[in-house]
This record gives sequence, structure tokens and C-alpha cells, in this order.
Amino acid sequence: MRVRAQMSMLFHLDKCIGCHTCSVACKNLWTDRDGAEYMWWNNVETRPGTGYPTGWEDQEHYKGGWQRDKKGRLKLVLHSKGGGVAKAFFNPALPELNDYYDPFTFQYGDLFNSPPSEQQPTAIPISKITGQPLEISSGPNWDDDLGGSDIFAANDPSMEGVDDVVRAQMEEIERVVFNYLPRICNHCLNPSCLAACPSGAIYKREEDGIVLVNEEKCRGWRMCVSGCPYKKVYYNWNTGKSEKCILCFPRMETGQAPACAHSCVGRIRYMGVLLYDADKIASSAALPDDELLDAQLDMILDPHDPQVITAARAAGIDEGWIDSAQRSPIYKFVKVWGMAFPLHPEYRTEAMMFYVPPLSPVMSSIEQNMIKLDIPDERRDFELMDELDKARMPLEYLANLFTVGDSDRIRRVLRIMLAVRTYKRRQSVDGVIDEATLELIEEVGLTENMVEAIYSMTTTPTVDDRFVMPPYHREMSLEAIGDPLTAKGSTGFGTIKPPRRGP
Amino acid sequence: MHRRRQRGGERLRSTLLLFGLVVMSVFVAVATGSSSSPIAAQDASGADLYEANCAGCHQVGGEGIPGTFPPLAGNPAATDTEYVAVVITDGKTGAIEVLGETYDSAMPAVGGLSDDDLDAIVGHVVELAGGESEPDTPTEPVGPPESGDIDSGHDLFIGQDRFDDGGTACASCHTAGEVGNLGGSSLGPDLTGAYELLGGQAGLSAWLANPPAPTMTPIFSDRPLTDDEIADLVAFLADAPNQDRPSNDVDWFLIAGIAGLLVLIGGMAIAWRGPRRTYVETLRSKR
Repeated sequence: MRVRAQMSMLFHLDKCIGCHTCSVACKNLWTDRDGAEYMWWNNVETRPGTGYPTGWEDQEHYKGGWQRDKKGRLKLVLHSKGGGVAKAFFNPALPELNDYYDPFTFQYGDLFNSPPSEQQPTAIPISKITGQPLEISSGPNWDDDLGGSDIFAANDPSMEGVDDVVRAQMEEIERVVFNYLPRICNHCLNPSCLAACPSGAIYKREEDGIVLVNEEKCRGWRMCVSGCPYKKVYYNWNTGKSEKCILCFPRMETGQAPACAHSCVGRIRYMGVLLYDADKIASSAALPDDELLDAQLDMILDPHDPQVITAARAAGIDEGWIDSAQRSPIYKFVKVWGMAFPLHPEYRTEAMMFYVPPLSPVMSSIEQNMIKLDIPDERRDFELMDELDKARMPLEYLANLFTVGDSDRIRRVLRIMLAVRTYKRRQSVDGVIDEATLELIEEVGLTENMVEAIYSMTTTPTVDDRFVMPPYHREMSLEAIGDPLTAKGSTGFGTIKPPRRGP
Repeated sequence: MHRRRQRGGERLRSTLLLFGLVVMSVFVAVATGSSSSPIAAQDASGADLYEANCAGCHQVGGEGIPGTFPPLAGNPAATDTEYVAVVITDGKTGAIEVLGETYDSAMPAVGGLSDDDLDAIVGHVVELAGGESEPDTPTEPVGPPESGDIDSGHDLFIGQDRFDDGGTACASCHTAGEVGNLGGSSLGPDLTGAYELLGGQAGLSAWLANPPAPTMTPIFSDRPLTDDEIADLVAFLADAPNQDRPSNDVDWFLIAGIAGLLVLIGGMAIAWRGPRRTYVETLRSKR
């Protein structure tokens, strides 16, 4: 057992309102620069939809992530070692600017300079790169809130396997449904961007598992851009280097949550430490598709287990980190309650950002101008509990996103969430919890204490509950190099120098 | 992408500007170099100037090298001030007869001399010409070893081997004989016939020991060639007229290569017309 620590984020999708505050916080903090206009280290996608860059989940097109070959070995989808050399100067799988978007602004001057006329003047969009007028047809959030769009939603690769009748229903205007999917870099345990980099510029930090691009070593080959199945590495045309989400490590090192998590209006994001067994990375990533998710979740170790604690200490993990791991909200959601899954585990990168799948309203039909829910009257109080197949967001779709197509796992999580909701409603509205509800809780495998814990972590968590930040002890590592007092009165530790364009 | 191209353009412009400045400064250095070089320093005596500019061939005492470079001492033509001045400023080629012997080599024009310098040199030459034909202290002409190695000379000529004192390889400015497919540079004259023109073994050796050409003097005055190097170069240059020059026939291989490239580029231009289809366009076309 080789214990390592990983900083993880959890997204409670049932709470996401799609306000994009996270994206803007990230943009303002990190990517408001020349060459980074089109980068959205954090973006929020409307689902079903094709996301950003358009169709990033279509790995037949973009060739990201890992695959299992016939002999059961792990191979990059992008290319073999020899193929990488052959394609060094032309990589057909590389997304182009138009697969992202031409970053644009509006010609606001037209609003002030237009001559008097009958119509209101309009500000046309112009490219921030060329300054020329643009006809925008795709981009981040271009399909925002367009759950039924026949280009984007209809072509969501995760809709594969969803019943044709259900798909047809989803396109009816009264039944259109969508939810939001915020995405950052998944800081994978088995990052394929790292494996694809010919310069060895990408590394995974030992102390917290953050995957970083060394801007000094990056030579702009852009194999990471193709290699990442989540398309979360971006090429900066100004510096000639690739960049990605850094999980706000400068903030975390000073005890603050990442900017996207901190600014989250819906408080859907949680931060915490997970301990995992690094010995199992290679073997668990090479398993057949249906064993992948279990294997990945099995790698996450119980931070209360004395054996794990001993092994963690032996691996040099700080007591403060072990303590943080024990209080980690991520550990509770992922392992204790089993409510959260990584995004697309079938990419075999062992993504370490977790998602609690969203609930959705029940399918309804319109009879005599009245909306009729497709639930028997006597079970109305229990909402979709027995009828999750009638949820507007098909379980198969969520399963394609989070559980490699296993919709029973999604069903289980949604039932837990419904049970907690029903229990708390009985408690606060009726004042009594009836037998049927107690039976329900037992049926989904919860106890009353667990219900309260899930409720308080979901609905009424404080900042300290949501963000359990481990102590980085940067002051100690600084002491190892020199006297920290030499930096007293100056801004920050060390110096920042802009990366130079590579040769 | 346009801004990138603009930036590239700016960088290209600044590179060109820098390159232009470098070229200009090189020209200025070359143009002013000869006048500021030590051999034409102000206040130098006629004897010093003679030694620096003329003695390489005509020897210090003006005795010349028999059969190669005509003597000045006792040479009646060299007593004529005007004639000497013209020869120094314009150079001299063609056969002349001096003291009963025929000389047929080339003397380059000596550049970068001020009027005062020229007067001083002419004065010294006329003095030599009018003086004893047998100087009191005849200087031994610098004699390189008789036999040099053609291959070593070739390597030195093209710069494959460096000159010991750091002189510039001959091929930087000259070509001669067979020095590879691309030949040497065409900045200076083709040296294929230099051996004969400069009077064979002795004349060429003397020339190389202290090259009197205005562009070579500043380079080689500080970085003289060693005797062995001179011998090797002389051997190579002596052999140069016998070597096969690359033919000037039409190079069909080159033409076929260019034609093939054009066909390839044309084919690609047809095969990949316009920008690649974006993912969204692919989705639209599926509909």
C-alpha cells in the first residue's frame, strides 16, 4: 500500500443553478490575458449538450484518454509511441480554434455613433482576435439552457443507449429538460495529458495530486490538448505554451478554497482530501469497462483505518492532512454515502473530481389543459421514489456520464436523495415521521443519523463544512530554503516571471 | 490568428531591421577598416609603409623574387615618380621586362593610402630604385617547405581544418578547383589560376605569407598563415587547374525535385481546400 493524498472537489449537481459565477471568478483570476481569451479552465455546460469545446466527449474525433487493448494493456487513444513521432508535426486530432470559439466582444461604438433612425442601433459581435465581424454558431454556453436543441442536445454522445421514445419525448417542448455540468480539470490519478506530453512538462504534484504544466519545459507540442479526454488543457497562442486549471494551488496553499468553489453561489462545491493507494493505479485503470468504477472507488482508502494511517505516516503524509482526510466531505459523499461518481470513468484517467447526480421532475402529460404527473395518486408524497424511470432526465443518460452506463447506481443515489428529502419534509411539515417513510429510509440503506448528516452536508453546510482545507505548511518548506523573514513586508513568496515563448 | 500574424510581422520587421543594421555596420567597418588599419597609419615613414604593403612580394630591399616578382632596386622604370604612383594606386598586370628578365604576374592596387602615405611610399621606392641594385643586407625570402599536401590544402581551403592562428578559411571568399558541389564563395576572385598568375611556388608562397590585397591584409596581418599551411595551400592551388569542376550543365535532379514539390503542394491544395470542417459543421451536416 502506497498512500498518497489528493485534493478533490465535489459538485452537487442537484444544487447547481448554472449561473457561471465559477467560470467568471476563474476567468478573472487566471485567464484574463492575451492568448488565454478562449480558455475556460472552469466552464459550466448545459446537459444534454455537446459542451465545450464542442463535442469534447466524442473521443472518436478528439482521441483523448486511454483505451484497453486486446491483451488488456492500457494504451493512449491518441497514438502509440511510434505514431506520436510520426504525428509530431501534424496532429489531426487537435481541436482547432473554431472547435472552441473565436473569442468575441461587441462593437459598442456603434451604439453611440449611429445616425438617428427608426430602429434601435445594435452592437454586432466582433472577433477579439481579428477585429472582424463574426457570425457565432458555437462556443462555451452557446447552447446554454437549450435542453432540446437539435444540434447540440441531439448530438450529445452520452445520449447513446437512451430509448428512442424517451429521446423523442425529450425533444417535445413541454418535456425539455436540462441540468448543468460544471467542469474543471479532473486532476486525474492516471492523467493521459501527462502520458501524451513529449517534453515531460506535465507532472502530478506529490503532496496534493494537482496536475500542472511546467511552463519552462513545455515546448508547445499540444499532445496534452489531444490527450486529455476532458479537453481541459488549452494552448496559449501568445506564449506558445499549454495551460490548464491549477486547482488554485496558490489559494489552497494559503488555506483558501479554489476561486470557483469559493465563489459558488449555489454552494454546490465541496473541497477535501482523499487518501488513495497509488499501487493500484495501473492495474485498476486497465480493467474491463464494467469493473472500472468499482476499482477506482476501491483505491480510495478509509482515513480512519489504523493501517491506512500508519501507511500514510510512513509515506510522509502530514498529520494535518490525515486529520483533514478524516473530516473530508468528499470522503463522506463518495465512500460513506456512495452518492458521488467521477465524470466518465470509462476514459480510464481515474478522474478525481466527483459529481452527485441531479434529480429531475417527473414526466407529465397534459389532460384537459391540466398537467398530470405520471405518478399514482397514493404515492404522490414519495415523488419519483418508485418511478425513477419516469424522471425527465433519463437515468441512462446520467449513467453514461457518471457510471459507465450502470443506471442502477444512479437510481440508488437518486433514491437516497429523495428519501432524505421526504424524511425532512415529514419532519418539518408534518412534525411526525410516518412508518412508510422510515421503511423507505431503511430500504435505501440509510439510518436516521445518516439522513441528518446528508441533509446538513447538503442543505445547511458552513464554509468550513464544505471546504476542509489541509495545512500546506508552506512556511516550513520555505524555512528549509531560507529565512522566511527575508520576505517580510514583500508581496508573496518568491518571484513570478512570465514564461517566454519556446524555441 | 491575425493578431499572431501581426506579431509575427512585427518580429520579422524588427529582425530585418537588426539584420540591416548589422550589414550596414559591416560595410562601414570594411569601408573604414582599410584607412584605419595600422599599415596606413598617419606619420608612418615611407620605409614602414613599404614594408607593410610592398615587401611581401618585392622584398624589404626591393630585390624582388627572380622570375616572379620584379625587383625595384636598380629598376629604371621605378625611378619615375608618376609611374610608380600610378602602379601603386591602380595595380599592374601583363608582361613587363625588367633588367633583361620577363615578369608576368599580377599586382593588386594598394587601397586606403592617403596622399601623404602614397608620397612616402613612392619616395621610398624611388630611393630603392636609384640605390644599389645589390642591397647591403639582402633578406632571405620566407620560404615554405617545398612540398605541401594537396588534400590538407583542400581541407584548409574549405575550412574543414582551421588555420592555426585563426585566419578565415579561403572558401569564405574564394573558390578554386574542386571544392564540393556548391563551390566556394564568389566574393573574391576564383583562385583556380592563381598559382600560375602569381608566379608559381615562390610567388604564391610570398603572397600568402603577407597577402597584399586590401581586403585580405586586415584579416591576415594579425593571423598569419604558418609555413606548413602555406605549403599545403600552394600545393592545392597548384593542382587546382587539373581538378574537375562541377559541371554547369542543367541539373535535372534539381528540376525534377522542384517540379515534384509543386505537384505535391498542388495536390495538397486540391485535397484540402479551405479550412477543416469544424465539429459544429459536422453536426449540422448530420442533420
